[in-house]
Amino acid sequence: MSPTCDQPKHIRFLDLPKELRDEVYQYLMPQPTNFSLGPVFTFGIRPSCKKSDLTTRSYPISQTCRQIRDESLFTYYSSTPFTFDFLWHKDIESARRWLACQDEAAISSMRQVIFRHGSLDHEHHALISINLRKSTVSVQDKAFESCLEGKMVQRVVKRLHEIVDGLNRVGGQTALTKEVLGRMLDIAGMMFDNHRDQSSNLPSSIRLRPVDDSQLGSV
Amino acid sequence: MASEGEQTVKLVSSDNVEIVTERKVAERSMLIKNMIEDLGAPGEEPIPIMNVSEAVLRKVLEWCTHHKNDPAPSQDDDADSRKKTTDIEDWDQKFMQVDQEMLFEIILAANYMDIKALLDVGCKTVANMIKGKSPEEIRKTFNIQNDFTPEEEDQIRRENEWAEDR
Repeated sequence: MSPTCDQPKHIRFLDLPKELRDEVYQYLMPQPTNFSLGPVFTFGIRPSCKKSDLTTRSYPISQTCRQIRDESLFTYYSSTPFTFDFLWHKDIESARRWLACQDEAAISSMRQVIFRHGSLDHEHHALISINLRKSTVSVQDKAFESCLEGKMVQRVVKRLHEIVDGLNRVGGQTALTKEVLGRMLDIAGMMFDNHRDQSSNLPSSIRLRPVDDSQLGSV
Repeated sequence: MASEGEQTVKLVSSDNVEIVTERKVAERSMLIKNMIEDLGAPGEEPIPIMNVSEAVLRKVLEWCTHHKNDPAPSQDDDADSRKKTTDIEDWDQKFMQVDQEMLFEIILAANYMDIKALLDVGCKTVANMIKGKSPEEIRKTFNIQNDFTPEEEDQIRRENEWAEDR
């Protein structure tokens, strides 16, 4: 290649227009771990789910410098539907620990949070989807509406709705905080057996998932 | 009258060098395609490509020549950003084996000249230079200054530690 003799200037990565840097970040974002659920991330502890895929460690560009960190975290967190995949109570605790390690600014960029409560056989599950762009909370499995568990789901949806409605809007966008997402996790936890938590007004017979405690021993 | 395929157009680089090329090649650039449509008489009036130097313009036209018969991309090719892969075809990979300065120049030119496919190849090439590298290696590759405060370094450490804590 012939050398350029004109306009000797040094273009660096940060000199590219921001929209082009965003384009590059998109190629580098951690990829979903469980395609059977659609293009989403699963959170729960599964043999098939690598925890590291939900961290910025697998997104090293976000750990290079301040400006690139701000931009790349926003690109990742705002365009990724984060699915919290809960099979048992332990998953909620795991999610809380994950949340505690998160960057506040990154959490405030999140636009879609999905709580998936389900069974190991994937046959019984409820997807509660929170869309922070539209400030909506919806159930994606209509089959739940007609059964006992469905009533429970509706209760959770109602509580989540109250939280979403109460969120501050910053620049036209509803902004999540770590504290608020923590409260959402608590409410999502209501779907589990109530013997240990705050939801004492709920009937104790409600179990969403056909998992017996003996299975917990293997985790 | 010559058919569109045989027509030539005159392009003028930012450093005032005139380059004659096939119309079909030049029209890989939507900027040029629209200009030709506006001007009406291709070949006669030189088209200024104001932000692109001769060396970069020649390189861009080399890519356009190789790809002049590519089918137009479909509308929804880019719809799902999640499915983005950094796969690049062999010829493009070799084409992009240039120094970093030229790579960024090509990306900027593709952006200015509105050549989506070349822009994609450029961004993928940058992404591939980053993939698999540690933050420190990325900083070295692109001469990025680590300007994190100790508090921010702490936050990053916490994020990384979560991955180790099973």
